[in-house]
Amino acid sequence: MLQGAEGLSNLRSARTEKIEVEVLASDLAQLLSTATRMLEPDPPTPCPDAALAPVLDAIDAARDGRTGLSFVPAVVRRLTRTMALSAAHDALLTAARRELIELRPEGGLGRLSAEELASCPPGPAGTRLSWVRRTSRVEK
Amino acid sequence: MGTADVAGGKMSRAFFDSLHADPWAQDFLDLAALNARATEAIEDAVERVRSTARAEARALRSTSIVILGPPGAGKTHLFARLRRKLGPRGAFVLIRPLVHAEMTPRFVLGEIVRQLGFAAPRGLSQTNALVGSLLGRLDGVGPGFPSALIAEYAELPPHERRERLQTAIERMLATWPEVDEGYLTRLLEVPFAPPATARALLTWLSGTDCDEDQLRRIGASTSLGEMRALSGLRTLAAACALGSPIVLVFDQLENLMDASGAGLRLRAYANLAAEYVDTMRGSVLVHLALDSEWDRGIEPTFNLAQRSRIVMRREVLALPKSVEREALLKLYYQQLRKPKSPFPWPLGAARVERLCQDPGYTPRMLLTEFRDALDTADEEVAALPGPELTPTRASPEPSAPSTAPDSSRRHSPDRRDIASDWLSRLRGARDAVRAAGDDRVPLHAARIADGVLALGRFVPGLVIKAKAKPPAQLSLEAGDELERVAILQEGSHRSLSAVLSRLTRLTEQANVVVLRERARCLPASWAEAQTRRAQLLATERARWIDIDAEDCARILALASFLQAARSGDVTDSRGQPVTEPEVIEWVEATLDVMSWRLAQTLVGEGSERTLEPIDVEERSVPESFIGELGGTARRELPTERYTALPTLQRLRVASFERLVREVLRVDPEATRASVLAELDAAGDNVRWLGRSIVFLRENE
Repeated sequence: MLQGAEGLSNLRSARTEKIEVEVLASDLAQLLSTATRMLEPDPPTPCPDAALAPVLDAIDAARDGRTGLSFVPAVVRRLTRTMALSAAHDALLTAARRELIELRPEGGLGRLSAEELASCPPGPAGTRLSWVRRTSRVEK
Repeated sequence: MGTADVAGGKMSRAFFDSLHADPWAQDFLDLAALNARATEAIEDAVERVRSTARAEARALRSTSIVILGPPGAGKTHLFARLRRKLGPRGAFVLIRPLVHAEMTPRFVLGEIVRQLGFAAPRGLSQTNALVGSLLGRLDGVGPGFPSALIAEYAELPPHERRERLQTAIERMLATWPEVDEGYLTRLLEVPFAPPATARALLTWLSGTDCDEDQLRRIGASTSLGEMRALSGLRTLAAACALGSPIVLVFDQLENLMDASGAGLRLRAYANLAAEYVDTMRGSVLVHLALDSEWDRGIEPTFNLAQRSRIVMRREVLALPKSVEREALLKLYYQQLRKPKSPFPWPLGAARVERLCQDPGYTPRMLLTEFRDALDTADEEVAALPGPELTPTRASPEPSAPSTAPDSSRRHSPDRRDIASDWLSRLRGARDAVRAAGDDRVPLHAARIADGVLALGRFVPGLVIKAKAKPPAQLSLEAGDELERVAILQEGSHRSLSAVLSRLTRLTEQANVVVLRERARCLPASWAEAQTRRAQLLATERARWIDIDAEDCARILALASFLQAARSGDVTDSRGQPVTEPEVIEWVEATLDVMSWRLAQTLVGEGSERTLEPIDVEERSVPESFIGELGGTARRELPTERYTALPTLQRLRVASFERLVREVLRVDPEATRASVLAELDAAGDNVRWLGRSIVFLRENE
């Protein structure tokens, strides 16, 4: 971009010079090409929120209306229809780090089956993150 | 272990070691932004009661709020915060439910009155605050200056004070004619009575059985009793509502869930809470429980009517967000008087970043991480050669974070620190038993029943159930024999005589075991009670067991320990929650409950009908804290066993060499190094005299 701006500035200087200066067509074409590229919109990049939309949808679908909490194994079951378990965990942890959701440690009395435990991402201090809810900032 | 001095702490090291909130703490750290919604919900409810009392007292009703969260999210902390915030504007009561016995109105009344004796955050006792607020309201000056009202009334000549109190009572009766006048009169007398009379008044008001001296002192002919407990509770709630509303908090409700899933205890609790909401005026009920358990195991057992009364509002505690976590960590740091380096010491930048970003951290976990980092920094200081060297580096950083939080590594539970937790509860229970003795207040029979049931879980061959009709509370099965267990804590000879007569009749159907605190042994002047007791024992179908103070403390501590385990409130030295099965395994492997005197007596060892008291010398050396751990009735010990602390508990004071010898008797694989390491890990709980004599802090 700097290169293009510098070129255009030189071109403007050349036009205002009292002495005659030739401008090569190739230079002009190159500058035009640079300017055209600068005006084009950025190529589409994956929007992080869009990437996490399935996670948020799955959380909403599994949401308990009374407490507002969703059971992570139920969320993961939905997500693993279209992605691997590790990808589902990654997506949940990413959403939590961005504070779109709140992952909560299991505090229960050993109610989780081995299968449910496996589907909960590991949390701090040896816990399993078995409950999740959307934070109020993004809650629908 | 490091101390505040080593770390340069502003607060005592105990602050960082106490991972569990003390609901009655006067001084604690608080980040107002945390759990602000739940705080506001309770605060608003209290203010609504106060404004309704001002505008239309007859319209007062109770409200009920459910607060849910995982262990360590700040449920108990919320109680301490509200006490401090609302001060004398609310009378705060925290009840941890009975696990095995049913909670009755009399039990709830007893707990409320007992805790009204505790100091409110601004120095005034809660009783004085509520009486002062009530008098202010009834005198038309408002409830805002309870101390001034108490001082004003205290300065009046007795006859004039009596007249003014009577006027206040008449005004109260004009609003609510159904209140119990006798109960109200005694309640209003408490702040102006001499200490011994005030204690007797509170004993009577709590529904506890008063002894003859207490009754005489307060001019009563009988104790309040079970029948009048409900009307006492109603009167107390109404009196509080006009001045300082009762905030009745039921904590650790997950303990009401029974293994069978039948939900009997929960339904009984729901009945009690719903009835309270229906019949008590202007109280604020708060129900605290683990979120996961409430949703799956507690609320589903309530019927619609109970649910509509209990769950008027529900708040789920949020975990701290990233900025709040950083604020909390900085708050902890600010407690250090002479930190070695600026924040993020002692954690280090990368660790702070991880703690703020990784999901799932509760305030308790953050405190644990901070404490661990402080320990590591202390150890580094200790390891550095030369006294003048000051470390500036932070504690070692963990490896780079992966997708899963680094801190998710699960360590095996540290039994040493479970021992510390147990010892701390045992100390607390001993203090409570001693204080009850000093105040001449019997321990609550229902709490003793809870303790006996907890003990029964660890005595092979003994099955104790909470299935019995009054006058018995429990049933006891040993082999083919079935006995009814009655816990008699009556304080007056009349009521005790009456129960003994009923028990004598009961022996026609079943064998009977009577349990009573030894501290409340029958005086010789109770001739009728002595006769009835003799008649009961003469049936030869009854046993009488006096429970020693030490056994009382042990069973109360055991019940509390198991309850905390279920609520996720037992943690090891790293702050990791220790599961209920792990705690049970530790109790089985370490405490040797079977050797406790009460356990031995309940299983029928020894043929005496009454147990001889343990003399002071014998009690000072508990007969066997760990006993023969390898005995035939015991389970195999787990590989990781720790025996030095229990052995020291038994010896009380010993040379290190003797302690090693004693430990080797029960654990041949122990070494001097392992004993030393275990003592070292117990930190401040173990004290040394010079380099050879060691004892537990509790024996100081």
